[in-house]
Amino acid sequence: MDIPLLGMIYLPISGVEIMAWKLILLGFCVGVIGGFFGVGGAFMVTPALNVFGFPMAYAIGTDMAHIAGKSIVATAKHRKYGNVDMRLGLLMIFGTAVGIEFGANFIMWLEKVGRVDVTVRYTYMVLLFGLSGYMLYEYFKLTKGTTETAKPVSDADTSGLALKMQKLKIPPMIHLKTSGFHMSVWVILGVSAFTGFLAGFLGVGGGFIRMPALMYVIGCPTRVAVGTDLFEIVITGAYGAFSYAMKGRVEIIAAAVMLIGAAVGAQFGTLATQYVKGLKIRLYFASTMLLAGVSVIFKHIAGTYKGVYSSDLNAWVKANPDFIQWAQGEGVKLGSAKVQVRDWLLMNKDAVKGWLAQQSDVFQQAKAMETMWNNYSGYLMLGASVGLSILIISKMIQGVRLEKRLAVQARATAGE
Amino acid sequence: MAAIVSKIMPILFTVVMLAVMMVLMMGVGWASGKIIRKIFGIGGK
Repeated sequence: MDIPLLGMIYLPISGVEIMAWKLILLGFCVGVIGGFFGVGGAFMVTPALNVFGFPMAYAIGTDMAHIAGKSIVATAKHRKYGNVDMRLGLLMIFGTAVGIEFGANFIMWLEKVGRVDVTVRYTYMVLLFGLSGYMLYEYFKLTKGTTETAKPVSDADTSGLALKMQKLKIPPMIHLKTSGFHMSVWVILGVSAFTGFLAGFLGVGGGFIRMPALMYVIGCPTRVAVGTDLFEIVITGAYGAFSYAMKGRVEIIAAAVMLIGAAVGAQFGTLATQYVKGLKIRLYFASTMLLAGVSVIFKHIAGTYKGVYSSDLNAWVKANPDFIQWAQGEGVKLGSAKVQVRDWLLMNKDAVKGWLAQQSDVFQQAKAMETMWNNYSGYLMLGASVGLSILIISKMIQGVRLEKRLAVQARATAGE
Repeated sequence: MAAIVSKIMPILFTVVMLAVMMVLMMGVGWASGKIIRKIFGIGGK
Protein backbone atom coordinates (compact mmCIF):
# COMPACT_ATOMS: atom_id res chain seq x y z
CA MET A 1 0.00 0.00 0.00
CA ASP A 2 1.32 3.40 -0.97
CA ILE A 3 0.72 5.91 1.82
CA PRO A 4 0.73 9.56 0.68
CA LEU A 5 3.85 11.45 1.86
CA LEU A 6 5.30 8.24 3.34
CA GLY A 7 5.38 6.03 0.25
CA MET A 8 7.76 5.88 -2.70
CA ILE A 9 9.16 9.22 -3.88
CA TYR A 10 11.08 9.97 -7.03
CA LEU A 11 14.38 11.81 -6.63
CA PRO A 12 14.78 13.87 -9.83
CA ILE A 13 18.51 14.65 -9.64
CA SER A 14 19.80 11.12 -9.09
CA GLY A 15 16.83 9.53 -10.90
CA VAL A 16 16.06 6.84 -8.27
CA GLU A 17 13.01 6.04 -6.17
CA ILE A 18 13.12 5.62 -2.39
CA MET A 19 10.58 5.15 0.41
CA ALA A 20 9.92 8.53 2.05
CA TRP A 21 9.27 7.05 5.51
CA LYS A 22 12.82 5.70 5.65
CA LEU A 23 14.24 9.16 5.03
CA ILE A 24 11.86 10.77 7.54
CA LEU A 25 12.73 8.14 10.18
CA LEU A 26 16.46 8.57 9.63
CA GLY A 27 16.10 12.35 9.70
CA PHE A 28 14.08 12.18 12.91
CA CYS A 29 16.57 9.90 14.71
CA VAL A 30 19.61 11.93 13.67
CA GLY A 31 17.67 15.09 14.58
CA VAL A 32 17.18 13.77 18.12
CA ILE A 33 20.84 12.75 18.41
CA GLY A 34 22.16 15.97 16.83
CA GLY A 35 20.05 18.20 19.08
CA PHE A 36 21.09 16.20 22.14
CA PHE A 37 24.84 15.85 21.47
CA GLY A 38 25.51 18.92 19.35
CA VAL A 39 26.83 16.96 16.39
CA GLY A 40 25.87 16.90 12.72
CA GLY A 41 25.59 13.12 12.66
CA ALA A 42 27.05 12.52 9.21
CA PHE A 43 28.87 9.45 10.62
CA MET A 44 25.41 7.90 11.13
CA VAL A 45 23.49 9.26 8.16
CA THR A 46 25.89 8.35 5.36
CA PRO A 47 26.24 4.60 6.16
CA ALA A 48 22.50 4.35 6.91
CA LEU A 49 21.63 5.97 3.57
CA ASN A 50 23.92 3.41 1.97
CA VAL A 51 21.82 0.61 3.47
CA PHE A 52 18.62 2.22 2.16
CA GLY A 53 20.05 2.07 -1.36
CA PHE A 54 20.45 5.84 -1.61
CA PRO A 55 22.94 6.72 -4.37
CA MET A 56 26.24 7.39 -2.59
CA ALA A 57 27.31 10.05 -5.08
CA TYR A 58 24.57 12.25 -3.61
CA ALA A 59 24.69 11.01 0.00
CA ILE A 60 27.29 13.43 1.39
CA GLY A 61 25.84 16.55 -0.27
CA THR A 62 22.28 15.66 0.74
CA ASP A 63 23.48 14.90 4.23
CA MET A 64 25.20 18.32 4.44
CA ALA A 65 22.01 20.16 3.41
CA HIS A 66 19.99 18.23 5.99
CA ILE A 67 22.61 18.82 8.72
CA ALA A 68 22.70 22.58 8.07
CA GLY A 69 18.90 22.85 8.27
CA LYS A 70 18.60 20.66 11.34
CA SER A 71 21.37 22.58 13.14
CA ILE A 72 19.56 25.90 12.58
CA VAL A 73 16.44 24.50 14.27
CA ALA A 74 18.44 22.97 17.14
CA THR A 75 20.67 26.03 17.64
CA ALA A 76 17.66 28.37 17.81
CA LYS A 77 16.22 26.18 20.54
CA HIS A 78 19.52 25.86 22.45
CA ARG A 79 19.93 29.66 22.30
CA LYS A 80 16.54 30.03 23.95
CA TYR A 81 17.77 27.80 26.79
CA GLY A 82 21.00 29.85 27.13
CA ASN A 83 23.23 27.03 25.89
CA VAL A 84 24.95 28.89 23.03
CA ASP A 85 28.10 30.90 23.72
CA MET A 86 27.95 33.21 20.69
CA ARG A 87 31.33 34.89 21.32
CA LEU A 88 33.08 31.56 21.63
CA GLY A 89 31.26 30.13 18.60
CA LEU A 90 32.04 33.10 16.36
CA LEU A 91 35.72 33.09 17.36
CA MET A 92 35.97 29.36 16.79
CA ILE A 93 34.65 29.69 13.23
CA PHE A 94 37.82 31.57 12.23
CA GLY A 95 40.14 28.99 13.76
CA THR A 96 38.11 26.12 12.28
CA ALA A 97 38.24 27.60 8.76
CA VAL A 98 42.04 27.92 8.92
CA GLY A 99 42.37 24.42 10.40
CA ILE A 100 40.17 22.79 7.75
CA GLU A 101 42.29 24.37 5.00
CA PHE A 102 45.48 22.98 6.60
CA GLY A 103 43.83 19.57 7.04
CA ALA A 104 42.73 19.45 3.39
CA ASN A 105 46.26 20.37 2.26
CA PHE A 106 47.72 17.69 4.51
CA ILE A 107 45.41 15.14 2.85
CA MET A 108 46.66 16.22 -0.57
CA TRP A 109 50.24 15.72 0.60
CA LEU A 110 49.35 12.25 1.96
CA GLU A 111 47.75 11.43 -1.40
CA LYS A 112 51.04 12.19 -3.10
CA VAL A 113 52.87 9.93 -0.64
CA GLY A 114 50.18 7.26 -1.16
CA ARG A 115 49.31 6.70 2.53
CA VAL A 116 46.05 8.58 2.74
CA ASP A 117 43.48 5.79 3.25
CA VAL A 118 45.36 3.96 6.00
CA THR A 119 46.35 7.15 7.86
CA VAL A 120 42.84 8.61 7.79
CA ARG A 121 41.14 5.38 8.87
CA TYR A 122 43.53 4.68 11.75
CA THR A 123 43.42 8.30 12.98
CA TYR A 124 39.62 8.10 12.88
CA MET A 125 39.62 4.87 14.90
CA VAL A 126 42.15 6.18 17.47
CA LEU A 127 40.08 9.35 17.93
CA LEU A 128 36.75 7.54 18.28
CA PHE A 129 38.03 4.86 20.67
CA GLY A 130 40.33 7.26 22.54
CA LEU A 131 37.60 9.87 23.14
CA SER A 132 34.91 7.34 24.02
CA GLY A 133 37.30 5.37 26.28
CA TYR A 134 38.32 8.49 28.20
CA MET A 135 34.74 9.71 28.58
CA LEU A 136 33.53 6.30 29.79
CA TYR A 137 36.43 6.12 32.26
CA GLU A 138 35.54 9.61 33.54
CA TYR A 139 31.85 8.71 33.88
CA PHE A 140 32.48 5.52 35.86
CA LYS A 141 35.10 7.25 38.02
CA LEU A 142 32.72 10.06 38.94
CA THR A 143 29.67 7.87 39.51
CA LYS A 144 31.47 5.16 41.46
CA GLY A 145 29.81 4.80 44.86
CA THR A 146 27.30 7.62 44.30
CA THR A 147 24.38 5.25 44.75
CA GLU A 148 25.30 4.95 48.43
CA THR A 149 26.14 8.61 48.94
CA ALA A 150 23.37 11.18 49.19
CA LYS A 151 24.29 13.51 46.33
CA PRO A 152 24.73 12.11 42.82
CA VAL A 153 27.11 13.92 40.45
CA SER A 154 25.19 15.92 37.82
CA ASP A 155 28.09 17.12 35.67
CA ALA A 156 31.87 16.72 35.65
CA ASP A 157 34.04 19.54 37.04
CA THR A 158 36.24 21.59 34.73
CA SER A 159 39.11 19.35 33.58
CA GLY A 160 42.70 19.99 34.69
CA LEU A 161 43.72 20.79 31.11
CA ALA A 162 40.90 23.33 30.73
CA LEU A 163 41.90 25.01 34.03
CA LYS A 164 45.49 25.32 32.77
CA MET A 165 44.22 26.77 29.47
CA GLN A 166 42.03 29.28 31.33
CA LYS A 167 45.07 30.36 33.40
CA LEU A 168 47.06 31.30 30.27
CA LYS A 169 46.87 35.10 30.28
CA ILE A 170 48.04 35.86 26.75
CA PRO A 171 46.34 39.10 25.59
CA PRO A 172 43.81 39.79 24.19
CA MET A 173 41.60 38.09 26.77
CA ILE A 174 37.89 37.57 26.22
CA HIS A 175 35.08 37.15 28.74
CA LEU A 176 32.82 34.24 27.81
CA LYS A 177 29.65 35.19 29.64
CA THR A 178 27.60 32.06 28.87
CA SER A 179 30.46 29.68 29.70
CA GLY A 180 31.34 31.74 32.76
CA PHE A 181 35.10 32.38 32.50
CA HIS A 182 37.82 34.49 30.84
CA MET A 183 40.09 33.01 28.21
CA SER A 184 42.84 34.09 25.84
CA VAL A 185 41.64 34.57 22.26
CA TRP A 186 44.78 32.74 21.08
CA VAL A 187 43.87 29.61 23.05
CA ILE A 188 40.39 29.54 21.48
CA LEU A 189 41.81 30.09 17.99
CA GLY A 190 44.47 27.43 18.57
CA VAL A 191 42.01 24.81 19.83
CA SER A 192 39.52 25.50 17.01
CA ALA A 193 42.33 25.41 14.41
CA PHE A 194 43.42 22.02 15.75
CA THR A 195 39.90 20.55 15.72
CA GLY A 196 39.35 22.11 12.28
CA PHE A 197 42.57 20.50 11.08
CA LEU A 198 41.37 17.09 12.26
CA ALA A 199 37.96 17.64 10.61
CA GLY A 200 39.54 18.70 7.30
CA PHE A 201 42.00 15.83 7.47
CA LEU A 202 39.31 13.21 8.19
CA GLY A 203 36.83 14.78 5.75
CA VAL A 204 34.10 15.06 8.40
CA GLY A 205 32.08 17.91 9.90
CA GLY A 206 34.04 17.60 13.14
CA GLY A 207 31.22 17.96 15.67
CA PHE A 208 32.32 14.81 17.50
CA ILE A 209 35.84 16.26 17.94
CA ARG A 210 34.78 19.83 18.75
CA MET A 211 32.22 18.87 21.41
CA PRO A 212 34.79 17.07 23.64
CA ALA A 213 37.36 19.83 22.90
CA LEU A 214 34.90 22.45 24.14
CA MET A 215 34.37 20.45 27.33
CA TYR A 216 37.86 19.18 28.13
CA VAL A 217 40.19 21.82 26.63
CA ILE A 218 38.16 25.05 26.77
CA GLY A 219 36.21 24.03 29.89
CA CYS A 220 32.59 24.68 28.84
CA PRO A 221 29.75 23.03 30.77
CA THR A 222 28.30 20.07 28.81
CA ARG A 223 25.11 21.86 27.68
CA VAL A 224 27.03 24.95 26.52
CA ALA A 225 29.43 22.69 24.58
CA VAL A 226 26.45 21.08 22.83
CA GLY A 227 24.78 24.40 21.94
CA THR A 228 27.96 26.17 20.84
CA ASP A 229 29.06 23.23 18.71
CA LEU A 230 25.68 23.24 16.97
CA PHE A 231 26.06 26.95 16.25
CA GLU A 232 29.32 26.20 14.46
CA ILE A 233 27.75 23.33 12.54
CA VAL A 234 25.15 25.79 11.15
CA ILE A 235 27.95 27.80 9.52
CA THR A 236 30.11 24.90 8.32
CA GLY A 237 27.04 22.87 7.23
CA ALA A 238 25.57 25.79 5.27
CA TYR A 239 28.87 26.32 3.48
CA GLY A 240 29.15 22.58 2.78
CA ALA A 241 25.55 22.40 1.51
CA PHE A 242 26.15 25.36 -0.80
CA SER A 243 29.41 23.91 -2.09
CA TYR A 244 27.87 20.48 -2.82
CA ALA A 245 24.70 22.04 -4.31
CA MET A 246 26.85 24.00 -6.77
CA LYS A 247 28.38 20.69 -7.88
CA GLY A 248 24.88 19.23 -8.37
CA ARG A 249 25.37 16.73 -5.53
CA VAL A 250 22.42 17.69 -3.30
CA GLU A 251 19.29 15.62 -3.82
CA ILE A 252 17.05 18.45 -2.73
CA ILE A 253 13.82 16.42 -2.40
CA ALA A 254 15.53 13.84 -0.19
CA ALA A 255 17.17 16.58 1.91
CA ALA A 256 13.79 18.30 2.41
CA VAL A 257 12.06 15.01 3.34
CA MET A 258 14.83 14.16 5.83
CA LEU A 259 14.63 17.67 7.22
CA ILE A 260 10.93 17.28 8.04
CA GLY A 261 11.88 14.41 10.35
CA ALA A 262 15.02 16.17 11.60
CA ALA A 263 13.21 19.43 12.44
CA VAL A 264 10.84 17.49 14.72
CA GLY A 265 13.60 15.22 16.08
CA ALA A 266 15.84 18.21 16.92
CA GLN A 267 13.05 19.58 19.15
CA PHE A 268 13.05 16.36 21.18
CA GLY A 269 16.85 16.21 21.35
CA THR A 270 17.24 19.83 22.44
CA LEU A 271 14.45 19.57 25.00
CA ALA A 272 16.05 16.41 26.39
CA THR A 273 19.27 18.30 27.28
CA GLN A 274 17.18 20.24 29.81
CA TYR A 275 16.09 17.06 31.57
CA VAL A 276 19.18 14.82 31.34
CA LYS A 277 22.21 15.47 33.55
CA GLY A 278 25.40 16.70 31.86
CA LEU A 279 27.28 13.60 32.96
CA LYS A 280 24.65 11.33 31.38
CA ILE A 281 24.92 13.29 28.12
CA ARG A 282 28.65 12.53 28.20
CA LEU A 283 27.94 8.82 28.82
CA TYR A 284 25.54 8.54 25.86
CA PHE A 285 27.93 10.52 23.68
CA ALA A 286 30.81 8.18 24.59
CA SER A 287 28.64 5.13 23.78
CA THR A 288 27.76 6.64 20.39
CA MET A 289 31.44 7.24 19.64
CA LEU A 290 32.21 3.65 20.61
CA LEU A 291 29.59 2.32 18.18
CA ALA A 292 30.86 4.68 15.47
CA GLY A 293 34.36 3.25 16.08
CA VAL A 294 33.05 -0.31 15.58
CA SER A 295 31.35 0.87 12.39
CA VAL A 296 34.69 2.24 11.14
CA ILE A 297 36.28 -1.17 11.85
CA PHE A 298 33.57 -2.78 9.66
CA LYS A 299 34.37 -0.19 6.98
CA HIS A 300 38.04 -1.03 7.34
CA ILE A 301 37.31 -4.74 6.76
CA ALA A 302 35.23 -3.77 3.71
CA GLY A 303 38.19 -1.70 2.53
CA THR A 304 40.57 -4.67 2.73
CA TYR A 305 38.21 -6.66 0.46
CA LYS A 306 38.06 -3.71 -1.91
CA GLY A 307 41.86 -3.79 -2.05
CA VAL A 308 41.65 -7.18 -3.82
CA TYR A 309 40.21 -5.71 -7.01
CA SER A 310 40.59 -1.92 -6.74
CA SER A 311 43.93 -1.54 -8.56
CA ASP A 312 42.59 -3.51 -11.58
CA LEU A 313 39.35 -1.52 -11.50
CA ASN A 314 41.20 1.82 -11.33
CA ALA A 315 43.41 0.82 -14.26
CA TRP A 316 40.29 -0.10 -16.27
CA VAL A 317 38.62 3.23 -15.40
CA LYS A 318 41.68 5.27 -16.39
CA ALA A 319 41.76 3.53 -19.78
CA ASN A 320 37.99 3.89 -20.31
CA PRO A 321 37.16 6.40 -23.11
CA ASP A 322 34.01 7.56 -21.25
CA PHE A 323 36.09 8.41 -18.19
CA ILE A 324 38.77 10.20 -20.23
CA GLN A 325 36.11 12.35 -21.91
CA TRP A 326 34.41 13.08 -18.58
CA ALA A 327 37.70 13.83 -16.80
CA GLN A 328 38.68 16.36 -19.49
CA GLY A 329 35.40 18.23 -19.02
CA GLU A 330 33.53 17.83 -15.76
CA GLY A 331 36.20 15.99 -13.76
CA VAL A 332 38.80 18.79 -14.07
CA LYS A 333 37.03 20.68 -11.25
CA LEU A 334 37.68 17.78 -8.86
CA GLY A 335 41.47 18.00 -8.91
CA SER A 336 43.58 14.87 -8.46
CA ALA A 337 43.23 11.79 -10.69
CA LYS A 338 42.34 9.67 -7.67
CA VAL A 339 39.38 11.89 -6.79
CA GLN A 340 38.29 11.90 -10.45
CA VAL A 341 38.30 8.08 -10.56
CA ARG A 342 36.44 7.84 -7.24
CA ASP A 343 33.74 10.25 -8.38
CA TRP A 344 33.35 8.62 -11.79
CA LEU A 345 32.93 5.24 -10.09
CA LEU A 346 30.23 6.69 -7.83
CA MET A 347 28.33 8.08 -10.82
CA ASN A 348 28.71 4.98 -13.04
CA LYS A 349 27.70 2.03 -10.89
CA ASP A 350 26.26 0.09 -13.83
CA ALA A 351 29.51 0.32 -15.79
CA VAL A 352 31.36 -1.04 -12.74
CA LYS A 353 28.85 -3.90 -12.42
CA GLY A 354 29.40 -4.75 -16.08
CA TRP A 355 33.19 -4.80 -15.59
CA LEU A 356 32.91 -6.94 -12.49
CA ALA A 357 30.66 -9.48 -14.22
CA GLN A 358 33.51 -10.20 -16.64
CA GLN A 359 36.09 -10.71 -13.87
CA SER A 360 37.23 -13.82 -11.99
CA ASP A 361 35.32 -15.36 -9.06
CA VAL A 362 37.93 -13.99 -6.63
CA PHE A 363 37.10 -10.40 -7.59
CA GLN A 364 33.36 -11.03 -7.51
CA GLN A 365 33.58 -12.67 -4.11
CA ALA A 366 35.69 -9.81 -2.78
CA LYS A 367 33.09 -7.32 -4.03
CA ALA A 368 30.29 -9.31 -2.35
CA MET A 369 32.22 -9.35 0.95
CA GLU A 370 32.90 -5.61 0.67
CA THR A 371 29.17 -4.92 0.19
CA MET A 372 28.32 -7.19 3.12
CA TRP A 373 30.69 -5.44 5.57
CA ASN A 374 29.55 -2.01 4.37
CA ASN A 375 25.98 -3.12 5.06
CA TYR A 376 26.95 -4.30 8.55
CA SER A 377 28.38 -0.85 9.18
CA GLY A 378 25.18 0.78 7.90
CA TYR A 379 22.87 -1.47 9.93
CA LEU A 380 24.93 -0.83 13.05
CA MET A 381 24.65 2.93 12.65
CA LEU A 382 20.98 2.70 11.74
CA GLY A 383 20.26 0.53 14.80
CA ALA A 384 22.35 2.83 17.00
CA SER A 385 20.52 5.96 15.82
CA VAL A 386 17.06 4.40 16.35
CA GLY A 387 18.05 2.91 19.75
CA LEU A 388 19.68 6.11 21.02
CA SER A 389 16.72 8.23 19.92
CA ILE A 390 14.33 5.99 21.86
CA LEU A 391 16.62 6.18 24.91
CA ILE A 392 16.94 9.98 24.75
CA ILE A 393 13.18 10.52 24.32
CA SER A 394 12.36 8.11 27.16
CA LYS A 395 14.85 9.92 29.45
CA MET A 396 13.24 13.21 28.49
CA ILE A 397 9.75 11.90 29.34
CA GLN A 398 11.06 10.62 32.71
CA GLY A 399 12.56 14.06 33.38
CA VAL A 400 9.32 15.86 32.50
CA ARG A 401 7.32 13.55 34.82
CA LEU A 402 9.80 14.06 37.66
CA GLU A 403 9.68 17.83 37.21
CA LYS A 404 5.87 17.77 37.38
CA ARG A 405 5.91 15.56 40.46
CA LEU A 406 8.36 17.89 42.22
CA ALA A 407 6.25 20.92 41.27
CA VAL A 408 3.16 19.28 42.79
CA GLN A 409 5.11 18.43 45.97
CA ALA A 410 6.45 22.00 46.19
CA ARG A 411 2.94 23.41 45.85
CA ALA A 412 1.66 21.02 48.52
CA THR A 413 4.50 22.02 50.89
CA ALA A 414 3.81 25.72 50.27
CA GLY A 415 0.08 25.14 51.01
CA GLU A 416 0.82 23.59 54.41
CA MET B 1 27.24 41.47 -18.66
CA ALA B 2 25.63 38.23 -19.90
CA ALA B 3 28.70 36.31 -18.78
CA ILE B 4 28.51 37.76 -15.29
CA VAL B 5 24.76 37.04 -15.04
CA SER B 6 25.26 33.46 -16.25
CA LYS B 7 27.88 32.97 -13.51
CA ILE B 8 25.86 34.62 -10.76
CA MET B 9 22.47 33.05 -11.56
CA PRO B 10 23.31 29.45 -10.50
CA ILE B 11 24.89 30.73 -7.26
CA LEU B 12 21.87 32.92 -6.55
CA PHE B 13 19.48 30.10 -7.39
CA THR B 14 21.33 27.67 -5.10
CA VAL B 15 21.45 30.15 -2.21
CA VAL B 16 17.74 31.03 -2.57
CA MET B 17 16.73 27.36 -2.89
CA LEU B 18 18.68 26.37 0.22
CA ALA B 19 17.48 29.41 2.15
CA VAL B 20 13.82 28.70 1.32
CA MET B 21 14.28 25.10 2.44
CA MET B 22 15.90 26.19 5.73
CA VAL B 23 13.17 28.77 6.45
CA LEU B 24 10.43 26.22 5.76
CA MET B 25 12.10 23.73 8.07
CA MET B 26 12.47 26.35 10.80
CA GLY B 27 8.72 26.74 10.52
CA VAL B 28 8.26 22.96 10.84
CA GLY B 29 10.62 22.97 13.84
CA TRP B 30 8.82 25.87 15.52
CA ALA B 31 5.38 24.33 15.00
CA SER B 32 6.49 20.88 16.16
CA GLY B 33 8.17 22.44 19.22
CA LYS B 34 4.88 24.10 20.18
CA ILE B 35 2.98 20.82 19.76
CA ILE B 36 5.58 18.82 21.74
CA ARG B 37 5.48 21.32 24.62
CA LYS B 38 1.69 21.26 24.57
CA ILE B 39 1.59 17.44 24.66
CA PHE B 40 4.03 17.24 27.57
CA GLY B 41 2.61 20.29 29.30
CA ILE B 42 5.94 22.10 29.48
CA GLY B 43 6.27 25.89 29.66
CA GLY B 44 8.19 28.09 27.19
CA LYS B 45 11.53 27.69 28.96
